[in-house]
Amino acid sequence: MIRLSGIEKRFPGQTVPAVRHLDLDIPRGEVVVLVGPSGCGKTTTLRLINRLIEPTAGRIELDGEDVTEVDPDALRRRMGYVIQQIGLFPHMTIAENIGMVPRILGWDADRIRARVDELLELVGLAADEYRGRYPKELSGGQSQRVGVARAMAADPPVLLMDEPFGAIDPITRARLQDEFQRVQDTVAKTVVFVTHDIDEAVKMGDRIVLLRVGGEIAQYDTPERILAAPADDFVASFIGAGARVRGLTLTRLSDVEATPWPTVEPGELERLDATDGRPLLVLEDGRPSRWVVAGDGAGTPVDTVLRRDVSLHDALDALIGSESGRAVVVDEDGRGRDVVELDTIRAAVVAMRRRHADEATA
Amino acid sequence: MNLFEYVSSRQELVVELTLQHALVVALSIAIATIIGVGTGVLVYRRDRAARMAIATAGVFLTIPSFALFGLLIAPLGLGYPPTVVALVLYALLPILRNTVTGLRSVDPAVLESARGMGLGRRRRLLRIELPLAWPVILTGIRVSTLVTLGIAAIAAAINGPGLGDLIFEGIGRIGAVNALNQTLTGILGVVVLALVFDTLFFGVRRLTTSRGVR
Repeated sequence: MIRLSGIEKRFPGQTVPAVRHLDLDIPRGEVVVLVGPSGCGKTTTLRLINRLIEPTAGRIELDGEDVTEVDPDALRRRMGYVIQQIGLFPHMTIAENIGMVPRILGWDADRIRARVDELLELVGLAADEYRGRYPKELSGGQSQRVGVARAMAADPPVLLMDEPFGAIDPITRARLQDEFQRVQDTVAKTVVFVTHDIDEAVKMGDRIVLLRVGGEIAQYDTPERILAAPADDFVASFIGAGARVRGLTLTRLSDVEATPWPTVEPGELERLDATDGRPLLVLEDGRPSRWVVAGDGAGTPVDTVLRRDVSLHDALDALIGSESGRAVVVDEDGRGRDVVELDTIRAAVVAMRRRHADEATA
Repeated sequence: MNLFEYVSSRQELVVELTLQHALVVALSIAIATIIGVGTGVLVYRRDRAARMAIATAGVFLTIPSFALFGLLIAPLGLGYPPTVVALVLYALLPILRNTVTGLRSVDPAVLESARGMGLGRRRRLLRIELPLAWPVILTGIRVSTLVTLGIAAIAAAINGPGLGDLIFEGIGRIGAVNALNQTLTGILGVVVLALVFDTLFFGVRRLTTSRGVR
């Protein structure tokens, strides 16, 4: 765990401190995202943790040990550091870049080689192909993966990441975010992550620290609760319009109750007479195929099916574009008979908000 | 006797003078590199100090070479010592300036990440900054070498080693038999040495620069 207590940073020649009295506990194994507008001190706060910026006052603890006065270089080798511009060493190969800190720590060559290969595979780069390359031979996304691998080289308990995916195109960024979450699921580092993008904060964070100018914490909470119950007007305005839609990315379709739908087999269609106006779902071999209403002949094909593990955000997106306004929820084999509608999602949002409001008052 | 016949007839002397010339330049450049790169490392992070150091080295380069060689006779006598000292002074500016420029042009993001990984001041300098600045520093050394090769010929005026002997003696008795050939031989020797050194630098550059920054 990282504990900052009473941290203050005043730069020379500045009347207003960049960070004024910050207390922050970062639990072990969690991703805590520092987010806020420009000038809120989020990068300063991150750099105070590994003492790239020395605090004017206050105390930094790492797993109970006071590290405010220890040798800063030794401290930094216990904390991986990833920045937006990556800063790979251009004159060294990828293997040498990743092996830098282990080499300083005196690992033997075999152990370093094995670790480099392991990390390259972990971040999704084929070790045989990449270990001998130079940074200029990599794309932006590949460089950033190497940056993350290099930060984890000596297996530090802490990773500090300053807008690590900020300079990368949106498609690659989303992929890197997903991959990082996958990696984090296996390594469970204590991660402090800086971004100015609330969507990224919501996606990446187990908890979010929303900072206002002066490094003051406006709200420190889970993404769900920040979106559903902003502490004040500043938080609400920073989250901005669309907070509820954003919150949908945090809930899986499997968390809401889908309605079992009346079905028919293809062979039974002729015997179909009166329905109550709602179409029936035709299942072929257990897989949804058509919507039919009595007297309407063949009916219309099912155009929207959703896997159980998609987010409500993706489900909403699919439903808005669906002719019928309904989607069938299916398993990996494409089988299923439960249905979600636009209203299912609205009801889920309302229920969630009520629950967070109750927790806030409780 | 044409130039070719002249050189063949005095082969031994020409080779000896050429080697002397190469040696005195190589020695001066080695010393100038140590002083120039060392000074560059000390001053590149301090703006005033860097400007002062470069200005001082610049002053050395503006002193007419003939005058400087002459001035050094009093403290250092004749021959090798004043020659080497003068050549070192002339060689300093390109090496010092390129060292400062090279060290300053290292990408700040690279240094930030190095610092954040726990590389201390010494390691950053030796592992990151100097290797990245090296191609620029080497270019400075190469320029200094070429400048010094020419100036070294003047050292003959104070009994210094090298091809200047042939040039000065030839000019001194111009009009006499083989005087022109003698002068041309000296000049040609300097030019050939310049080409040899240049080829050498090309090789050194390839061998000492990482493929990642070529």
